[in-house]
Amino acid sequence: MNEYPAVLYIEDDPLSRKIMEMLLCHDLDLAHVTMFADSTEFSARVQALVPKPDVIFLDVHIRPHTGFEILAALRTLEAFQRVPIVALTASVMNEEIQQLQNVGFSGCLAKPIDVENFATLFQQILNGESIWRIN
Amino acid sequence: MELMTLDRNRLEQLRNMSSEGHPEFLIEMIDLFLEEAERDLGVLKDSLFHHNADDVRFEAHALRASAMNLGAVRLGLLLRNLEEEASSGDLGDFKQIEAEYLRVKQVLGIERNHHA
Repeated sequence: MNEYPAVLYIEDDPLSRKIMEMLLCHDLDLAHVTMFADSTEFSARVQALVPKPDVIFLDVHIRPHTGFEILAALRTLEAFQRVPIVALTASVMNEEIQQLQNVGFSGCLAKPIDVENFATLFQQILNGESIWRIN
Repeated sequence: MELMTLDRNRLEQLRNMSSEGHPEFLIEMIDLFLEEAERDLGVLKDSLFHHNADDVRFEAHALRASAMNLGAVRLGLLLRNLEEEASSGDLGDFKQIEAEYLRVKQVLGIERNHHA
């Protein structure tokens, strides 16, 4: 893992993006943080990123392609088969959480983002731990 | 126990982020929420009027995510209920949501003035 990890966050909620920007760019001082506000042509946009993301945070309920569709497409690409892809969801439905695990997300963080514990959770994700933090 | 309009703990967390060298952060979050919510409420009302359950579900979820970011827990609960019952939602549900949004807006306005 790169000492200065690159992060991609695909999220249509501007407040969540703003919080994440503050956490990643200011609190953690990461230089390579990219955010997509929608999932249009996501595959080409993700593959064009330099450096390649070390971690991808993915909003599940996003349009036009859902987080499930994005995960499935990225996992078919050799370069993204082992990159941690963590779902972010405001859903509290157990069925959806079970579904996230079944389809192969690396973990899940509940929204709203837990700002007090984010740095610790982020480090655990970088260390390869599977984090399932549901409110 | 009745839910609060705003979760003070969440607001305090955002206030702490503001105090760490970014004094404008909380105000920007409040302004962004109000801007987003006004637009989302319009789309939600339109989707309910046209009985478009998919859009009702999507918009209710989107607005709930924004609301919960600022600790608007009661508004979040109303939106969650609508999200789960999207196909039977109606404009009566919307009036409740709109009324709660106006309470959130009022409290956030006070918070904003206090913080500015």
